Amino acid sequence: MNVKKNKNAGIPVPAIVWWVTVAFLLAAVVYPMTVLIANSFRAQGTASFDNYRRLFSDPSIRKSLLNSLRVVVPSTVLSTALGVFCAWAVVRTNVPGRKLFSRILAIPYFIPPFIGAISWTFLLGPKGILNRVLMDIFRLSEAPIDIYTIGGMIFVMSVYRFAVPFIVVMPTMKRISASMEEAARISGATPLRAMLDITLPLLLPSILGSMLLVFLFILSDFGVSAVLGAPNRIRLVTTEIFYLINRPDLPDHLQIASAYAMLLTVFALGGLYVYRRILKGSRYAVVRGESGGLAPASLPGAAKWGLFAALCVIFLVTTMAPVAAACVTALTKTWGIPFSAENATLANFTGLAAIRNISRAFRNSLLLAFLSALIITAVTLIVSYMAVRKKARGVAGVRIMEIMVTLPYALPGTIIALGMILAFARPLPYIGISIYGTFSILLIAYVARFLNLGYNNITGAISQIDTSLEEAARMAGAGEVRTFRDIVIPLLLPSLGGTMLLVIAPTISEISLSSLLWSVRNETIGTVIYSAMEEGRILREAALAVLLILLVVIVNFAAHSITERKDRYGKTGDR
Amino acid sequence: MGKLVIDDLTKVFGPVTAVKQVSLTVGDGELVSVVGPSGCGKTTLLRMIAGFAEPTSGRIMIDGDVLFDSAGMTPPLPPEKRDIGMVFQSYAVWPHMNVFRNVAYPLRIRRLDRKAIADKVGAALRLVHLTGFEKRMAYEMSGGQQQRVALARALVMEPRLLLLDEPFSNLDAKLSAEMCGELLEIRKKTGITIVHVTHDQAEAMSVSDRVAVMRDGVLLQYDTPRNVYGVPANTFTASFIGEANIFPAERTGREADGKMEVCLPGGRKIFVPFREGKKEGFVLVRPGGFVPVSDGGEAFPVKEIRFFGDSVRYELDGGELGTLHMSAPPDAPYKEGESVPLRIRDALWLDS
Repeated sequence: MNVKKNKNAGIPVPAIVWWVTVAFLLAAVVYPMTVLIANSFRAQGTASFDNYRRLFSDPSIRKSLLNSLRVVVPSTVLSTALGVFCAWAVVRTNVPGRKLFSRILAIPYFIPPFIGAISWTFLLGPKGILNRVLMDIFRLSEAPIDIYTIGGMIFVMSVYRFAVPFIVVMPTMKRISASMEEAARISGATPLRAMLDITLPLLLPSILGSMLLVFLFILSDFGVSAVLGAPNRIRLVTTEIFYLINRPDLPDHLQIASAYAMLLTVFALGGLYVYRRILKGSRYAVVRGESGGLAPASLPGAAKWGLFAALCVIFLVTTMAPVAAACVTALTKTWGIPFSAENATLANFTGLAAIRNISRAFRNSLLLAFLSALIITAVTLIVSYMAVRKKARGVAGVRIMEIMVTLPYALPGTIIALGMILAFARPLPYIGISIYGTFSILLIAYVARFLNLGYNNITGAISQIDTSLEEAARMAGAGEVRTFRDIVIPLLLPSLGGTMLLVIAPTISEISLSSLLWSVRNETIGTVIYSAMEEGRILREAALAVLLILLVVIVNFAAHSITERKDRYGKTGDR
Repeated sequence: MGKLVIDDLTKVFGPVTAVKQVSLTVGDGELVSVVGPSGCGKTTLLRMIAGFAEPTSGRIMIDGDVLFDSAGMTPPLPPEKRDIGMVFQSYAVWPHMNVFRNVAYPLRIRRLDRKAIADKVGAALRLVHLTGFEKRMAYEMSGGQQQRVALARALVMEPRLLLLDEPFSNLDAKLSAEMCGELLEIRKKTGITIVHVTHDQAEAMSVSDRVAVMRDGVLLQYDTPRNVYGVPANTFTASFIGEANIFPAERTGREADGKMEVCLPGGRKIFVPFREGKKEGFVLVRPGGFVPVSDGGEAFPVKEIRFFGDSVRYELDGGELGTLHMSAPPDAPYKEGESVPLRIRDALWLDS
């Protein structure tokens, strides 16, 4: 037998992609973070701890830290309780419409929280629709409910973030084999005891894990706190950092912001670490389920319909009411007067096209979303394949890649943006051009931040493909590249499409990076909505919010139908 | 203690009747296997005994205690009050508890003191040969070991009845045989009554005192393994339990010496032991019922030979009789294509 020379030995394309990705992440994430760390230890041009001391002496910063605590803790607990309750109702009871609820209660997950916050201001702002109704009913002279408070933030965050534990806990709950509880029953446990001793402990890792996810989401939230905090100057950590960055009059303002960002980073990474530990410790979370899932408990009629009503209210409050409020507001001629036929107009929408920066923002956001989705999908296809099939850099290399991919997604966008400002505000060395204030810095930031979505999604899809499928192609005479082209890519096609949409959805509504990195001519949808809000142009703000919700819904709907189609080959070698 | 009485039990799921009027009694200390193809209702029967499925009608009793009675006033006894042990097909070893805590759970529910729990768990683990595994977690154990944990957990509270739901179906052949052996040993030591559901008829035959054969929710036959094999109730039971040659046949009417003449396809006439019944039916011949003869007898060519060590199975071309399955000692070396002259030594008349 003579050994054939590998035709593709000349250009190791995968290896090049791998190293380019590494270089990109080093430049776009690691370098800016290093500059940020260095800056946090610099005051008046010399090395010092002054910035850190400042964090605890400055009353405004101290206040924001306290505010964050007052928002994050209760809303994390509330979201988790609400999410687990809904998951339980949908999976474990015979509540009418449980199939439908299991879908529609997940919708808040897909609505950008800052759009949710804006929509709620249309209901519960000083001239909000709901407030006006309440004023009419109870003959009040003032709006009874103020959404621009800590309580308002807790409410809005919980109402959107409960979907995370709902989505995470529901499948685990379904997967627990019925025989687990039955074994307890036959051992002598009552149904309640079986739930407390067996089901709850089995669910605990997934409940705690989703709770930490919610914690991380809320801690790094910028949009909701910016929208609801602005009128009464209630600032949380992220908004305080944003505020510090935008105060050039304050000496060392970027350095103080960096120190504050470091503090937030410690919390975020701590949360991420605990989250990982929980996932790792829950080796048993994947519970065998030959005997089918747990049977839903049959509730008596009254309890059943009570639960149904509760779920309807939850859906109404979390999804219907704010979306409807945004739509009504967007169609209103004069804000503050009840909505009627005379007070209705389409002008808020039709007027948008004429506003130059708004049409530009739509063009920019769509282009940014499409480009980042394309880049991320193409890059992660190769990088994930190399990582899963252990074809690259050994285990350590894969770990480092994973950390570099996860970091920018786990850290608050505000921090990533601050690092980029610090690193790229001045012209790049040697080349002499500056990317700060250009379209490309937004693209770089988006790609770095959302690479994680592509990596996770495609890595998952590749591990579903049994290696024997590729080995069979090799035995049939196909080379490595040919196998990848003929076997791997066709099998991954739905996942690749899904990944693109998965990236597009958060990029069109991105706000925390964009609010710091945008510039004139390089606006995004998020930033023009934010500007409309700051300028008090409520009707324009509403019209933009409705358009953005529409866009996000379309993208998610498309993503959903693609992932549904994924199963057309059945399970490919799923063991 | 541990006598199970099932009386006229029926379970209807929507349009499907999963179990139809099944009655059977399992004596104290007896090991009964319920066998049948998948979907025959055997698992539903077991789940009704355990209390996880509520019968549509009928009665279940253990030692005179009513567990369920559709005619009675008492509501069905919930599973936790039935004092029954059960080993699940998936083992259902709780993954968040170690072996000790898994096995101790039924005792903790019953509020035994610490010392008694330790003693009883120790004894149960000794019984299943898992002493020293107390601290292991489920994911650190093989399937066979998890099965032993499940068995110990079911036995630790000394229940009146042990239910086994296809306990060996997830184990490889050797391990499954080993566990069968241990089950018999445990039974000898504890004297516990066992109801065992399986689709593996060989397993059922080898361990049970009595075998219940089910099809489409109906109990076809309930008898000792020897009788189920030797005198099956019908052709289904005959072919489900062991290998069978079944020929359509007709009585000719000639009877003598407790035998009757029947006519097989091709006009062949043989004598079989006399049995009351219909004029047209079937004749069953087990593979050992054919004997090669040196003189006379019709000869059939060998199609296929399978060697089993202690015996050889031949497939012969029986013409209009179809394929004949014959078992012979390994010292009868027929070759493929060779014609073997045969006589039918043992045959049985079946009405249906």
